[in-house]
Amino acid sequence: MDERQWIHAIQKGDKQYLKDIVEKYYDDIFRFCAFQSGSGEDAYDLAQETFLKFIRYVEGYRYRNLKGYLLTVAMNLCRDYLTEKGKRGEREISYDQNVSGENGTEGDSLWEIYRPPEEFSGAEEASPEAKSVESDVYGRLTKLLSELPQIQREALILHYMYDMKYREIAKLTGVTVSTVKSRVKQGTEKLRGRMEKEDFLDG
Amino acid sequence: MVRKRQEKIWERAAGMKPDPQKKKKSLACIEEVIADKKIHNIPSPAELIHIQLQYISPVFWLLQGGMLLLLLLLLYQMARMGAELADYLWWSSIVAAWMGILANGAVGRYFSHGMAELEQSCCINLSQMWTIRMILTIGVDICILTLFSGGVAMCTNTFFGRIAVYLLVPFVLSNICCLLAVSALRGGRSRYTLMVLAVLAGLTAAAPSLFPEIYGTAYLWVWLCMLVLGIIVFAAQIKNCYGRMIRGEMICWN
Amino acid sequence: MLELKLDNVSKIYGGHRAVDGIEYILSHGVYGLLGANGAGKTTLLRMICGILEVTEGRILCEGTEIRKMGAEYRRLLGYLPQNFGYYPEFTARKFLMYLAALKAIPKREAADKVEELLRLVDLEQVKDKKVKTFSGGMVRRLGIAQALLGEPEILILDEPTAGLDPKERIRFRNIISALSKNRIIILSTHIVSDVEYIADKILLMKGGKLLSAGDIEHMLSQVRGKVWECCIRPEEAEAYQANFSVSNLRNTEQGVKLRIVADDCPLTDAVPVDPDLEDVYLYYFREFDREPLS
Repeated sequence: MDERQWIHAIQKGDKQYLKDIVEKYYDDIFRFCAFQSGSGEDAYDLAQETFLKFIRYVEGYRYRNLKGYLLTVAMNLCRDYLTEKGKRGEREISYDQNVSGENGTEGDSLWEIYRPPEEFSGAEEASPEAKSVESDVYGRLTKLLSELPQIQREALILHYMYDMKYREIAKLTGVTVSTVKSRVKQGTEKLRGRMEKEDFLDG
Repeated sequence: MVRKRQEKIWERAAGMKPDPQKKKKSLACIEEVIADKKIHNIPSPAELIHIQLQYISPVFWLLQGGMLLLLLLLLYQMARMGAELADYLWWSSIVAAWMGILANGAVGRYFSHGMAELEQSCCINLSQMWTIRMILTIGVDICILTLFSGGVAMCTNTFFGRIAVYLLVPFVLSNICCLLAVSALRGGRSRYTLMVLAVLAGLTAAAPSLFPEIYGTAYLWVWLCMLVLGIIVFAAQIKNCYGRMIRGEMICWN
Repeated sequence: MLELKLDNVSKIYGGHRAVDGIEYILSHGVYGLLGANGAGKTTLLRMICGILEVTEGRILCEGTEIRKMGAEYRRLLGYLPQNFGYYPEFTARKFLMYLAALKAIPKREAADKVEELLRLVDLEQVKDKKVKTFSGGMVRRLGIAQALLGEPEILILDEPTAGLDPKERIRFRNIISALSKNRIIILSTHIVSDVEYIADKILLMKGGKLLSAGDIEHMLSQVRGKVWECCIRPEEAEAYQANFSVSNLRNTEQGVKLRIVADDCPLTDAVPVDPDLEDVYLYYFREFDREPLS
């Protein structure tokens, strides 16, 4: 049974296939949310929210490309998440500067975006030192990606991690193919520059 | 070299997996929602048409059938008498005009009896039903008129398209008048108004037959212009009704 | 949890503001929309149903504008308009089956649901009678049944109790109380007692504006200390009614007992009493309507 038939069965009332869809795509969606949002912790909530949204409106869903659709939902949720987070960060920084310039722990929420999530460090290493966290590929990539503009990051993740063609990304993000091309190109260059600076490419 | 390295990093990143414990927790939440989820039925276009057909009043079918029968009888009788083109058109123009009134009169039912507001709040709302109903009735009418034109064309050795134009003009014009009455006039939906309208439309439609030369090829362009103009006006009228319906003016009026 | 947000909602008809800048967030619970006739209640409810276009502002359901949601939103909705008609050939059962079809309820499911609802509103015996033979109260009950089709998550009832007799009113209240979990229920009325016991929140509307909103206790606290009771001679009653907002008037052995809503003590021997919702209503509407409310 292919996905199209799953969707058809769901819309006829067979809820079992909703579970199958969630199980099939959970990891993909989670990974996107983790790298896009920059927070490995919040990615669970974002991935969950993506599927809940899909489930809520599944009746009206017209089958095209399920993975692409779920990624679009996740992308929109990540956008909202980052806007919200940005606002909160600004507020807290200005609060920090006004009230206690020295106190770093209070203003941490902005830095949380850049902080590599704990599970990225790999549980088996179990090294508590910050250095080993930094050396971890996921964490370092997350950090470097988070320094790029959001739209470039989206395009890079979809292009390199999900092997999507420019045309597919254009369809997903609602911009022209040439825009996607330039986003990927610029993003790749910036990312390479930063990777070289941090000696990321040597390891 | 650098590119290769970069690709390698992306590849490793693509292999990232969520923590199994946390994933399990997240999946459990989603499954709970799935268990509570009630799948609503979204009707297919075929089902929509079926619903429509179910609730069209029998009177409408009787009248519509009556029109068809009338046209067939007419064709038969005229053909037997070996009538002229103008004789055919005289009667059939009247029937075409009536069909226009009947179509819109029946659809106008949606705006009466105070059910419009209720229907507009439903999943399949008034605007959708009105569209389907319009397409159904007008489509059927056009089919009937075209077939009839074909019959007349055969009997009188005239080009079929020409006859279709002669018949579609009164049909479209009466559609316009009736839709105007139904959608704009307060009393426009009553049976009485529709009856008066039918008489007037019938008389107007029959009038050209008093001057048979109008049906000559020399005047064909006038008919064509009227048809095109009529279709444009009717389309604009439908668009206007649709807009007023969606904004709620038409529904919350009374 | 479902959330409906009214974001500065206005409706302007030819320069007149029928609904004027309403800001409010509704979530699960029963909301009683109280206001005199012409306060803009029906216009507001029609906009919440998506039937009427909003002139200014937005109505959001979980963050999305309801008109953009289209059928997705209407699927959540059950609506009882203030007035509604029916096609003349309809029986009660056919009326409900027709609306069930419009609400996209599958046929077999609809047949059972319709029977159940007819029982609920006590129209089972007359289900095959034509609606045009029904009394006003029966039509109203049919309307309530119709609104409940498809288990709507947003239930909007415009003057649901109009035309119902006291027994039917109690029955209606019980139906609503039993329903109130996990949905948004808004019912509009100009009769305080309709919502006093079943509404979680009261919204007071006047001249298109939302005057006050909150739970019953919040509403009562606004008039605490402003409700008085006093006893006067019968011949004075008329003069008092002309000068004060009288919420109740009772003939007793000692004379006429008046219940007055006023900011300051109206009479030296008047004693403050505990307010009820009727007093709140009168407090807000007194300039508008000086007659005692029944």
